Parts: sequence; C-alpha cells; structure tokens
Amino acid sequence: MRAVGNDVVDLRADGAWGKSRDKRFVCRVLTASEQNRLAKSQNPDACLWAMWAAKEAAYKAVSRIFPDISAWPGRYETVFDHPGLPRQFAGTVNTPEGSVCVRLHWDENRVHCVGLIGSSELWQDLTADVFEPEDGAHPAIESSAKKISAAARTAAAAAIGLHTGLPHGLVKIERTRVSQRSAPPVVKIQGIHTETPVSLSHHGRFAAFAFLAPLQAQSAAMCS
Amino acid sequence: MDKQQIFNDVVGIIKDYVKDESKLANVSMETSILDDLKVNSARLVDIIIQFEDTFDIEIDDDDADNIRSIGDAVNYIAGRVGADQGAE
Repeated sequence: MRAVGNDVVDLRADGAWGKSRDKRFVCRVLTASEQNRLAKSQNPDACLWAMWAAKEAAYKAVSRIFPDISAWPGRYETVFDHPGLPRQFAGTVNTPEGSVCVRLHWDENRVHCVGLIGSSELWQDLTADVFEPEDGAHPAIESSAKKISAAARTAAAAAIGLHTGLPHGLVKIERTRVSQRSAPPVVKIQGIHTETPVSLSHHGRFAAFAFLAPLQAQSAAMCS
Repeated sequence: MDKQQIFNDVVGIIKDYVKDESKLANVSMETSILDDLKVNSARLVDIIIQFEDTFDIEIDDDDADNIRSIGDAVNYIAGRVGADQGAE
C-alpha cells in the first residue's frame, strides 16, 4: 500500500500568527509531550504549525487506508528526529492506525509537511511542491481560497502529466464526497481512474501538492 | 433554549470563520462546516472552543471529532443543554 498526504500552513495568515500563545487551542490539538516541546521552542509558532502540518499530512495519508479514522489532532502524536526546529527535518506521526513517516521544511513564511505510508524507497518516487499562485508561478489564477485550491489541483495535474509524458489536459484530479466529508482526491488519466497517490493543500497565500509516481505498468498502459 | 435558537447561535459563531459570505446564504442542518463553508480544520478547533464558551459545556475529543455539519453541532449541543425541538 502506498499513500501520501501533505499540508501547508501560511505562518502569516490570519489565525496562524501568534497562535502558539492560545493555550486552549494548544491544549486541544497537542499531546502533553508536544506541549512540552512547544514550551521549549525558540520559534513557537513555527513549532506549533510544524506539529499541526505533520498531523494533517499523516491524517490525509492514513485516511486513504482507513477512511473512518479520527481526524482529531489530539489523537495524533508527532515524534521528530531533531530536538530543535531545523529548516528541514524528518519524523514520525503516531496515528490511531499506525505510524506515518513525515518530512518537513519551513521558513519564516510557511511550513510544509509530506507524510508517506509505504517503504522508505518511496521517497524517491515523491514529487512535491509549494508555491504562491500570485507570485508568477500561476499568474492566471487569482488569490481567493477557491482559486488557490484550484491552483494546487491544476499544478499537481500538470506535474503528473510532465512525469508521465502525457499532454496537458489528459490528467485530471477530481474529488468526490462521502457522507459529509470530501473524499481524497483521485487522479484520472484520459478519464480513467488511477491509483496514483496524490495530496493537495492550500492555506493563506500558498498552494501545495504531493504525489507518488504512477506505477510503471499503469503508466505504460495509460500512455499506449 | 430551543433548537432553532441553537441553530442561529451556531451559525452566528461559524460565520466569523467563513471567508466567502455567499456560502452562508443557504446554510442548513446538512451544511458541512469544512467542505461547504470551507472552514479550515484549525479554525474548526476554534469553533469547538467557542461552542464550549457560548453554551457552557465541555466537548470531549471524541464528540468534537464527530461534529462535521451544522446539524451535528446543533443536535449535539441540543442534547447537552436539553433543548426543545425545532430547526429539524
């Protein structure tokens, strides 16, 4: 089984900046050991949102396999490989249904995390990106949340197309809805549902995506 | 307090977190807070905390995890505060 999840947090967005001082929020979303890590952090907002993004990325990955799994962040515990908060680091998120490996990077503007279920070699098959649709990467797309969400979907489809060698427009990413929840996005190539694991995220100014390379046999069949 | 009043209070709390006000035009018990109103999951935690303050209740993590629609919130809160019927 291969599954991927990703999450981006705009550290400057309304509701994100200074949130580490919101004790009730912190107590609802972090475990005791995570609260301890936050208390020691020199970058508390980045630390809070790094843990949050890791939990969200892990949830997105594990909910592919266990669709009814709890989404409540307090049920997920992050274990990072580094005691501080270097700009790039790795770790694990312990979920109610097993652990998910994560990799994070952050700067003064945003935190981005990708979570992966599968063998460690899968990281070689991962493509992920974070971008600001307003900054010229996707100049035709305006900045409303809906359009930023569309930007993530469009950029992911374009990247998958590039990876598989398919012309632009043959790859689509679609979402369905199951009992008041959005189902995870699915990749369709030439209208055919594929098992390509893909994850989309957007927050504030940023859109992000992550996907694992389509399985070779499937990709070859699609291209023939 | 009846369910209609709880519904109004719940919508009043949530609307502060909805960026696109047009999404509130046809809000109903079936409206999904995350998917229809596009409230992000971190703000949903803030909303749960506001429910606790407004209705003077504690919402544990299991119950909070099950609140996905306006109706989920209204029915849960009504059950906790012993509300009369309405807003069905």
